[in-house]
Amino acid sequence: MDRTTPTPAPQTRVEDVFAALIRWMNGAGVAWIFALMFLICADIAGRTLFARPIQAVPEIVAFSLVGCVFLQLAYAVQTHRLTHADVLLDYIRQRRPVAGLALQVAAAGMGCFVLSVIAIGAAPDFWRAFRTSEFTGVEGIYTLPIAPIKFVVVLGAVIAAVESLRQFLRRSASPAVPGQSARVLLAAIVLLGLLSLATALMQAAELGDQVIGVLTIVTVLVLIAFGVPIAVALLLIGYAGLALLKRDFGIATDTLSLAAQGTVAEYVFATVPLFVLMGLFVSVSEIGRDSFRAAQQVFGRIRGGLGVATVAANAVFAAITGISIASAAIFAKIAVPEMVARGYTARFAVGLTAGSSVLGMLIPPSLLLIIYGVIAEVSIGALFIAAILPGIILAAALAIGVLLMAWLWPEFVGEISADAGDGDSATVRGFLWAVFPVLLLILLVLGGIYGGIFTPTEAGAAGALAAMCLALIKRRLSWPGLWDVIRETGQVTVTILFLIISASTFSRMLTLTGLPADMAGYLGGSGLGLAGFLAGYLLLLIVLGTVLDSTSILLILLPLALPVVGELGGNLIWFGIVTVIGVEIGLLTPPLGLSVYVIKSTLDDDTISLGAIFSGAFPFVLITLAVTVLLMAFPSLSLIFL
Amino acid sequence: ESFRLTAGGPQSASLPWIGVIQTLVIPESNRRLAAAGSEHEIVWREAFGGSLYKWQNSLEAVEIGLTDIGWVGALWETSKMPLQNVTYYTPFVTDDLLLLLDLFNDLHESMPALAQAWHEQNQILLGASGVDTYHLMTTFPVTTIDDLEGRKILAPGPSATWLEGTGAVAVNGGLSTYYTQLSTGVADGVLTILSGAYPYRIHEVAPYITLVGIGAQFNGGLAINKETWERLPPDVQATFAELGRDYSRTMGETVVARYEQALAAVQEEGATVVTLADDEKRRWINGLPDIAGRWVAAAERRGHPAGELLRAYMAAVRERGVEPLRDWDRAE
Ligand code: NA
Ligand code: NA
Repeated sequence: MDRTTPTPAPQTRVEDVFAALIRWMNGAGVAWIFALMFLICADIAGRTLFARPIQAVPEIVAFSLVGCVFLQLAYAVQTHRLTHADVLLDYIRQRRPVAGLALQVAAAGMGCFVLSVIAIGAAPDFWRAFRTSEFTGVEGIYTLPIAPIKFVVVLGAVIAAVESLRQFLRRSASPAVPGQSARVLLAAIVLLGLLSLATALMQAAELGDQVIGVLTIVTVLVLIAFGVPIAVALLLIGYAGLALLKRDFGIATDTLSLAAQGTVAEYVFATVPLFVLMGLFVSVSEIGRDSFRAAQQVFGRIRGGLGVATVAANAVFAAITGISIASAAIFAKIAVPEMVARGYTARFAVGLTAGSSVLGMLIPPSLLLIIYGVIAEVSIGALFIAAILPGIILAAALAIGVLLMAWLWPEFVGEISADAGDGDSATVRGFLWAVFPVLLLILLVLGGIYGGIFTPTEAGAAGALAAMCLALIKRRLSWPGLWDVIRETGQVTVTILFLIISASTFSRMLTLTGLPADMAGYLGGSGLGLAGFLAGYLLLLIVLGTVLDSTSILLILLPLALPVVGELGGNLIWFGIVTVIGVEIGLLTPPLGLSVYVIKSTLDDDTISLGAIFSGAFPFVLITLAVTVLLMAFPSLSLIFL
Repeated sequence: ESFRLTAGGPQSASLPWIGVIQTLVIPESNRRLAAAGSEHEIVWREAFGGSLYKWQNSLEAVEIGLTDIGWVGALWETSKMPLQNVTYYTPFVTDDLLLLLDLFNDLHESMPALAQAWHEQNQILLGASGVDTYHLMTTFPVTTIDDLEGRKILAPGPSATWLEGTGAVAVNGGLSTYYTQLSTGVADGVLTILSGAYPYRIHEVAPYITLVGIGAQFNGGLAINKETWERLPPDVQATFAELGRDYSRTMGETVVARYEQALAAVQEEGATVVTLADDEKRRWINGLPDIAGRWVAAAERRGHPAGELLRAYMAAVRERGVEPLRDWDRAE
């Protein structure tokens, strides 16, 4: 141990080679995602133009997603991209640097453990697939070998586990706590030892299934609060819970491997990379900004008009994107600087941008509605239609909120002049020219979906390709720019899909405890009625929304809630709409608010703190909550077009 | 003494092959054990609806013991369990599901290779499951095979081969995507089972139903993890073996009843139902290539006795008094 130099030891040659391997694997995963876009578009074109569909596309895409996640996983671990809540961790790091660092080192140890378990479970599976030439598909139509994907899973898990181990051993030597690396490492090992001891004690105590269920939920919340990456916490506790419930570590290991390979191997999950890709192309091509400026010239004359323009532009963009974080990323770049330049406070500008990003997943197309449709087994098309009016209502409520606050609460909104127009008065032609590309994209995506050219899942690929073409036509896409866009797409994809895998593992374990089924039985049999159940459900959505991401909440809560709703006579389409808007409130609430995090990282401005964005978004949380209650009270608002 | 067992299914209990586990196997197991004066009892944990595992993993979930008992969809296991897919490669043999289930439960006892296929996946088949005969649902009226020329018909997996020779284009999909694909025009029709299509309201978007009768299908069954099985005392094993046969019969009767209800309901709700004329059906059958022969060749290359099974299956069908509309075991 070196007590004189506070800087960590330089990387060894082996570590350099290892880092290069991780970068290379990441690049392969990124390129693979990009290729999927072309493959899906080729299938659409083949089917539509030549009556020659590529039969294997859904399965190729499904298995590719698994491959992409595991190719890029080590890079996400290396660059600390796995989503984690750092509010409490930051506090501890400031007050007790040794303890804070020990927590991070322990988290790396946990990551190493769960990734090793996945590798151990997947390795024999790969070997069998290889030995027996296992395939998917139908002989005589098409067959795809499975072994290569299983190999990528094992390789990716091993490399990511080794990277976690490297962090476990290396991070204790931090300049923040010079000369204390032994203490940090010891503290981390003690922490991990305590967790193992707790598991062993619980196993010896032969606890009831429900007790195990409650304890695992509490433990996950504690780990997440202390900054353990959410995916790692869910996988670790999911694994421990499975082992306790099944009284068999082998089953727990195999289940982790099964979840890692099976969860995201579905065509619909391709919407994650594809809609992110499309959103980023819209951003780099600056057609989003152009149409925003056009809208500003229409609304800019009213007090608070630019805020209304932000809401309106978000609503329009929502019609072509499936995920809210794409909206947050784009409007953080476009709307925030424009608003601040015109006298709005930064707090209001970022808060409004976060708040109106919620529209992205309410107004169709919407990834959350797709996920809901798959879990609830209801028509995704019907969900999309049902979401239109609620989306417009939320947009209107946000706009009215902006106007009222601009009038009644100027110290929050800022000293804005009513005459915000800057002279270059908009001609009708100029306006149309500015919004034309975005309108074209919307027409293409919506027309394609409702005109029978492609499914909502495929729409992401068509939209991404079209947005890329627009960016090329506008000469706003260079080779390095293109690589940046697809690399960022890859990292968002691996983060979200790995979260979905881990949330699925945890919810499988929770299913085995019987806790969800018993709670559903309790809620259903408690005579609460639909209104009482909805109140409890909304509360649960908000509470879980503070610490979990939207998809995880849906996967955990829906199997519990759906039978109850059915029993109480609620319409499952309407329930999908109120679920999605309710769950999206979590995008804006601390400690884990994904939209807020995206805005923070996109802006990259030290003067705007995370706290400022959360507090700026709070009025919009209240508005969204009010609209949710309104939609719950009046199901006809969601079902009017059905 | 009590045994903690998990019963699972990758789909909702509204589907007969899942629902009958819940309504028959779980309550009957303890009732029969008690009635026989057994000192053993099962403490059940139910996990249906895909919350424990998804349909793609129904085989693995029982294999690894994530669930002790579960419905396994062998139809999705073309690589691991080709023998259990034989009916999908022999269309137009029989529409009689109950006969088919009984026949396959018997074949699993008389032909060791069939039971062996389950053992290799660390499980034991308790009772076969299946679906009603396949028909055609379209957005346009069909009177002759020529009406299908160039049309996009949803036919996932092996059912795509049933369209060979008709001039239709097979499009991939699943029960949960059919409605959207048909309503938007991504597809013009679907080859499907009425008992499954009715709850998904497919007849609203494809109101022309042509009764073709491509055949009932054996699609998998109720299976138990092999290690769990070996842990159970003989009287519990005997109860499950008996329940397996009952599972097949009740499931088959439920599917047939659902089929009859669906057939009546779609007509009440405005769909047009016609039976494909015999000579047109004959044209369809004769136009099919040697699907079974291709399947036998591919499976035998991988070491599975598919030819032996095909002959045993066709012989058993004839033994039960059914004359298959095409003799797949006597390729011309
Ligand atoms: Na949207
Ligand atoms: Na939150």
